[in-house]
Amino acid sequence: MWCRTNTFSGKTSLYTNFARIFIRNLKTRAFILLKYFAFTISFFYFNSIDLSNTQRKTSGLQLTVIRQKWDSAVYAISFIFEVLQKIFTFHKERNISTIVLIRQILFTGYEAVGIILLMAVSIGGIIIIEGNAILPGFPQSKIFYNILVSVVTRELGCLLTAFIIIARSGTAIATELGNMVVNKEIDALLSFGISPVSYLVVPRIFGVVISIVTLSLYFNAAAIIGAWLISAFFAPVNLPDYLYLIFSELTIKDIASSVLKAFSFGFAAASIASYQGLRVNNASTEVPQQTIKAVVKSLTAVILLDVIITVLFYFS
Amino acid sequence: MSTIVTRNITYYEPEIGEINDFSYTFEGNKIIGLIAPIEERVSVLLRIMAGIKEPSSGRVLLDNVDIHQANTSVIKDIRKKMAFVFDRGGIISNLSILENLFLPLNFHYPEWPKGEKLDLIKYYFDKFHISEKYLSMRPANIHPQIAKLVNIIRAYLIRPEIILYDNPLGDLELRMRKEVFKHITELRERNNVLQIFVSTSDILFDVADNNIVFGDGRMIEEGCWEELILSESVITQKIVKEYLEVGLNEA
Repeated sequence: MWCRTNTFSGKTSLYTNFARIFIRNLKTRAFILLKYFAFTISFFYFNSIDLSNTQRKTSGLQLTVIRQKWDSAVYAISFIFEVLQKIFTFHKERNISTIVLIRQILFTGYEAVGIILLMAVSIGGIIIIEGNAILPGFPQSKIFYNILVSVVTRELGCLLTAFIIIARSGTAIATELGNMVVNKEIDALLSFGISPVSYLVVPRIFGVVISIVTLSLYFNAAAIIGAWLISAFFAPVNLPDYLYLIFSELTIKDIASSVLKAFSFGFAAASIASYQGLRVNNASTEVPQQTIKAVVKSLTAVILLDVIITVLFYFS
Repeated sequence: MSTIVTRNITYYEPEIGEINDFSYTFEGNKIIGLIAPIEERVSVLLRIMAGIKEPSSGRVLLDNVDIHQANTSVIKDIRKKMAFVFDRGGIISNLSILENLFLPLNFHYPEWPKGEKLDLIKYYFDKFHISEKYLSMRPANIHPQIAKLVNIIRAYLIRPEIILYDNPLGDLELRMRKEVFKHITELRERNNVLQIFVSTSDILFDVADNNIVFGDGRMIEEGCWEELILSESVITQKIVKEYLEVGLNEA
């Protein structure tokens, strides 16, 4: 009831039309208990603001800002639940969504292979060059393999891949979806009865996740090979020996953390980009604003996820 | 025959428009016009009835199912009964025209053979005198008039029982307008289709079985075009005059 009178009325709400639809869907589905739990807490929270002196001291503008933030939070939660629900029902609409998934993999994965390989080989080479400047004979020391595994496989592989994907595909997704809102293409999907989340968002999430996981594996392989190629100029190492030493340093834990990172980075980047794109309301001038927000939020989310996963795997 | 019932529809959005407490039952094999002063955007009501926009309050029932509250399993069957023709936009930009036309067909009728779907698309292209070369093009590469016709064809393809038109004749040249106009009137004569429209042109209101007049977001009166021309309501007279002037200018 609180929602109905305060945020769902056209006069005060800042929701886009799709936000309302997501929120309505949230209301009618399985996560209803969680939603009411959140609403109850917020209801008491806002009531406590109303009853205290804070509200009297707070200007109307500040209160509006609080409401806007609250609106955004409810929209984001509803969006996440909608996405999670549609992920599990993706197969039901595969006859129309598969083409979107294939195109996303093509754009995000296949077309980014070149830049990923170039960057990976360069990073591998830089590690060798920098290491050799500090420690002559670096490629033949054990620490080199340690550094290569810990820096490239555990961290840089997924992190740099995610950054490239955010720069290429995150911006593209946010811009594309934002323009689709402006051009009433999302309205058209709704008029057919096609959920924009299952047709546009979920295939993009799958596409980006598959691409990041695959590209980060390519990155790791290319960085290792790149380091070996550059090392040939300073202190040549036999390739089978080199690979043997690399793999002897590499543990299942490293691979698992790398894959988990790539998976979560992909999910976060694609979800955030889609969310920001669909937040565009009417004007094309909103599109670049939402795209910038998508990039900043995606980068922040990726860094935070990286810290969390690293702590979970290696903090002891 | 499907029926749309609106119950106490209220909507307000700055710069978009407002609807105040609109309740009406749309039924039968009819053409019904929604008419309002040109500065009031009554097409928002059409979008609410199509389930594209959520009303601030009130309900829209399509065959007794609330289209804004129905769950996903029901909504697909409901949407199959209704199609919406957009005034501008509404064509998926990253799909070709053919893919755009296949999309609702694949969604609603996955069991139909592909060849049958293609034949149906070609039939409508032929009917509206559109070259098949446009099928492989992207929406950005076609003329807005063709895009409008594609929008109309896409609505007809799923064989809906209710068609909602947002300014169906707008942006079309005379020959194309005649074709669309002819098809709308033919649909009334041949099929059980309820057609509801908003238009900036008076010629559709002239052939409509009923026109609902809005002023300040409220329903003022209803009647056929001749009745509205003779209406004593000041608002209706003003609206009719506006539309007749537009019609004269277009003529």
